[in-house]
Amino acid sequence: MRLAFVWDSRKCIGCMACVVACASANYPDFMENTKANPQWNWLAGNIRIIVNEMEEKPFIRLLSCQHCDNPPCVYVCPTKATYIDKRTGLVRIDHDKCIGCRSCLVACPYNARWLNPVTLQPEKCPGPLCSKKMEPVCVEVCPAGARLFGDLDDPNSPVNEVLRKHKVERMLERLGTEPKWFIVTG
Amino acid sequence: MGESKVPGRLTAFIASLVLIIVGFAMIVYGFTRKEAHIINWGLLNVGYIYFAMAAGGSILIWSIYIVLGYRGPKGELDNIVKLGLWFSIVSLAVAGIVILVKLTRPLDAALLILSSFNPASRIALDVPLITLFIVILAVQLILLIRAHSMSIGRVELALAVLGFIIAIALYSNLAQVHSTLISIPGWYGSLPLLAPYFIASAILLGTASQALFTIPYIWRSEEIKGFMTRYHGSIIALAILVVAFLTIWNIVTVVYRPDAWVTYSEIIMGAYAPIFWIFGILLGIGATLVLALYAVSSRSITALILASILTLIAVFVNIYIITIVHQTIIPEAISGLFIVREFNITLDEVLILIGAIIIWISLYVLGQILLPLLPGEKPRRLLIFK
Repeated sequence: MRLAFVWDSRKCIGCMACVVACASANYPDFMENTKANPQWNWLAGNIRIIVNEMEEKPFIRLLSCQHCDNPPCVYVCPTKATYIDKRTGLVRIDHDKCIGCRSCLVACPYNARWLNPVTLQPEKCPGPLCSKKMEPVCVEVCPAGARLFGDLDDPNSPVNEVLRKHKVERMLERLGTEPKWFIVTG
Repeated sequence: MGESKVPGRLTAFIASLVLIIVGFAMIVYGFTRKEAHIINWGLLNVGYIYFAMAAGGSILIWSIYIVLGYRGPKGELDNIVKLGLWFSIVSLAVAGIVILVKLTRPLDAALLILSSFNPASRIALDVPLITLFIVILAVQLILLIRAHSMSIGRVELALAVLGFIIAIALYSNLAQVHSTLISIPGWYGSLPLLAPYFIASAILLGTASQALFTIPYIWRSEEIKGFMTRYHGSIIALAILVVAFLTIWNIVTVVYRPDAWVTYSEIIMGAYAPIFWIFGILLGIGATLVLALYAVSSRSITALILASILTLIAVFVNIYIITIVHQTIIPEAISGLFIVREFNITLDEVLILIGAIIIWISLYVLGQILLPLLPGEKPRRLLIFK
């Protein structure tokens, strides 16, 4: 099984429901205490937003862990606390093994990890709740149906259907990280 | 004379112990106040590399003294070889402390790294390398202390060669920790330059700091002083020329690496240019080279001290720049955009680093008191050396 995310940039209405849902479901203590994620200067959640105003037509990109098949964070982790889950293909963190060296935070070319200011350990998608449910809250709450989550190895999964029918791109493909996070652009 | 020495030694012993306790207290207090910094590898990583590099002087002590068998015209190097080994052990121990407290879980970090060892991780490789380096240095020191004369046997020679290989591997690995990360263009792919740069900087810093730390013990003998001034001065001058070449070559080649140029331009002509040009180049290379050459030609110990102090500052500035600045501007996941982050030194880092420096100096002094490190001193104070 190789689980992957799809985000349809054409359908996304920019309501930020996924961003807030991720933060409140996975890190409720932070939301109650209105604590921020200091590294992203953003909500304590696993999704951040990139606004590109440099182009003629400004656009946004939502970004979370890309669950790379070739993940730099896994290679640098000295204790194998960051690993590829063989059952799901997702990149995960075993916090019991994490020593807090922060090399995964430095190594991620997507800046998709953030340091929990309380535990001083890295956090990323999937958060604690989504890990248990195996159904990401961002996909559940999206009112526009812009988010999908499914198995790349299953030819009948909705993810594969979208990838077959639409033009998709992946971020920083040139780095060879093989992200499993697809953006539908056309 | 003999009676007055005992209270002096006791006072120094107590003072060293107290300072070590103070240093540890500062480190523990700093650790409890640790924050989530915006820049992930900050001042403590700089400190770790700096202390690890300071141990690098022992590479030359071994190579020249043990492997090549050169002891100076009148055996002058006998006076500092054990001091140098002790200094390197202390530096590595302090490097270990600094990087451990950088971690979230310092107490079980080593155990976790060894039990779940990831051979692909350069940070994981640092642990066995630094441990082996300390063990070899310690065994070498014990053998030299226990030896009746400063004779070099096969074991010492084998240890010296092994230690040399481990030391080169350690500094090369430190360079790889940085240059294998695709996320930081200023580091990525720079291994052909960064590895020799780290090795040369380790030799430079190690020699300069050993020169500075051994001066109190060679001060009284004009003969030894003259030799050491030329000896240390020559190594510093040669190492600076290598560092200068690698620095210039790096600047020349980075112009053709657009991603890396973003941060290098900040170093060369941006916000960090004043400290780079003043401390890294003008004082760190220019003035230090002149002073080192003057120390060699005129046997001026003042010039050697000044050259050593400038080297200590310059290498710190250079490591700071290499470690920190390239993390302040990193490419965004969309090509053409960058994430700009501000680096702020926090109180916890300062406390830990000052504590480490206090321990560094105090442990070195404590070694003089407890161990027979100077020529002619009998191994009587600690049972292990009898």
